[in-house]
Amino acid sequence: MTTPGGAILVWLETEGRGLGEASKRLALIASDLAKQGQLTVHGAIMAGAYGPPPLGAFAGLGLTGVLAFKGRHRPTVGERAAALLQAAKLLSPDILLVASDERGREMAPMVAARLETGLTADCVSLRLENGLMVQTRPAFGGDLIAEIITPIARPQMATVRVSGAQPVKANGEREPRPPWRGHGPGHEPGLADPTLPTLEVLLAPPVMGEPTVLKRTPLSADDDLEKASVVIACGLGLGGPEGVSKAKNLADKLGASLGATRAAVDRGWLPGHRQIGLSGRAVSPNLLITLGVSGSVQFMAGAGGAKDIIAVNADPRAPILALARVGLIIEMENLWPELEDRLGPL
Amino acid sequence: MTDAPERTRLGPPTAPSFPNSAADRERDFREAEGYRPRVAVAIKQVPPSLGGATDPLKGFVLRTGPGRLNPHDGPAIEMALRLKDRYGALVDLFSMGPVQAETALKEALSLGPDRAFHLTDPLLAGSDSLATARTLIWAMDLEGPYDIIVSGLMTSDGGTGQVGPAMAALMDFPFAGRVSEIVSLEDGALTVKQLYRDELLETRLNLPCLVTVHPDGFTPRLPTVRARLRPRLVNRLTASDLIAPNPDQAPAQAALFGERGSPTKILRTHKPKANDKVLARPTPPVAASVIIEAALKAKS
Repeated sequence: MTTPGGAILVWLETEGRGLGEASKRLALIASDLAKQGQLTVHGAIMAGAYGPPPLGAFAGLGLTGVLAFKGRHRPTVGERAAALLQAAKLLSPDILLVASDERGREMAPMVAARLETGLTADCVSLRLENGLMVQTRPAFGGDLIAEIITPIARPQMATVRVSGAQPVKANGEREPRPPWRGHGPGHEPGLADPTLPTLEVLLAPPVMGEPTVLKRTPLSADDDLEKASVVIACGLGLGGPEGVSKAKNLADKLGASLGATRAAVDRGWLPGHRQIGLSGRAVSPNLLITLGVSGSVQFMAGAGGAKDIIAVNADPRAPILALARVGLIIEMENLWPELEDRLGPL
Repeated sequence: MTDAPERTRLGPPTAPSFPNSAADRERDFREAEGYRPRVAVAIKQVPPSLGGATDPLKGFVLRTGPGRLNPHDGPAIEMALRLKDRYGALVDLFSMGPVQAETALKEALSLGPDRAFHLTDPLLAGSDSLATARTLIWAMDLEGPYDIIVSGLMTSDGGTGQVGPAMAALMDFPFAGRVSEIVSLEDGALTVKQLYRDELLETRLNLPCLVTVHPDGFTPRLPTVRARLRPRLVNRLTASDLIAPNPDQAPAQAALFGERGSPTKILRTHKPKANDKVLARPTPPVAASVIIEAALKAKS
């Protein structure tokens, strides 16, 4: 049972000299959860070359304390896991949350395995029920929603889907307020600010025999999927690489970025880094146009941040049509000629 | 300040470790000439389509029908086979699952791995990612030691992607995720490229190590006719095989199997609710206008 006065530990990541946006969302989700059970929220963070972010970066996030581990500038996944493990041993939290981004999905299972506790991946909602954290996640490509608990082992661990413009609901009722407004790294609140956590700096635990990074190549210069105002998502309904090529030309003409479903990526129609969804990227454009996308919960986990969705699908039973603001039931073969009439050859 | 540095990787050795003869074997033989690196691949059979039936009481996915190889495991096997092609590695497959999951191992064997081990026992049913990781490790300890353990990025049913990193932590192996290319295997180290969303890393890992495979770099090969015609033998392992090396610890180890050894429990499952909204069935010109005008508005 989660006892009142227990702790939630969240793993935070730096971004530049400040706190990453996903980390702020995660802290707020934890803070909403904490209110359901009189828990306190603590953060653990790896402080690299710049040291820990300024205290102001943690303001307004509902954090009671932050443990900052001084270590290497770009820690490996194993080094992050070791630091979080150390924090978990120091705090003995009831609940431990990690953002389910690429690195979080790698480090969290390491920590859970070492603590011999349960871990639920990619939670889309968390709540306390009878003192236990109920962790909701889609499985089977979204065909099934599972609620999972860790009744005995502690801490109760989850990776949490935090990206996307639509913050995850922590209590199923209200949206967490945008955390970063007025509390950015540049904003230095007064020392009297009651929302500031205490900051403790520790040496990161050494990890022997970690992999050595020989070379780093930054990626995605051409790629602005997360920031694009219009995204066109390609699904199996496009029929094949030819349809995808038309969609790409359409995206170019409309100034949109191109994304894809996992099914389309699995067939090799588009590279894996274009994938939108639970196991891919989360987008939050003003407009998402889906072409031949059925709209599984798993896809929507990455697309839910779109402010407006226009869905094109030939199958009137496709779930995306019910989720979109406008659902256009039409065959792509009938739509392409009309679009080419307006925009030129695609 | 922290305590004195522990001279291990992630802290003291994992609690539920049951030493057995294979894992304790001297590794000196690796220095011997003509040594072939040993690679283990963890694979899974998944239901053929999404939305399988669930156990009404426990919420597990009922794995009774036919299945297919998890799509992410093809690339994992491909990476192991490239290690075989380039460095003469011996490739063993490991899978845990119900009796009929043997077909996935047979299918995978036709691609060219050397041996396949199928862990199947009612005691192992209902394993979550931690219990699965432990059980696979024990099976690999029986047949190993291995220099490189390869896992797919995730499965298409559970989709947690947790078993690979959990195995690395339990074994205290260096870990590299999202491997998209093998650079070299020499001087007791594997050098790979790791494809993250924001960067491509070239990373060197000392052996033994564990990697998860990014599907981008390893398009699976097709089975050869010769391999298909070869007898494809799948070795079956049961819970008692896993216990055999340490009979005195049998009760403790058995408590870590399957549902009993899984710290997570499924509270309930449900199908997402469908929303039946009235939808437009537009003519092509109307549909094109809706799309173009909305895009222009969203850009402005």
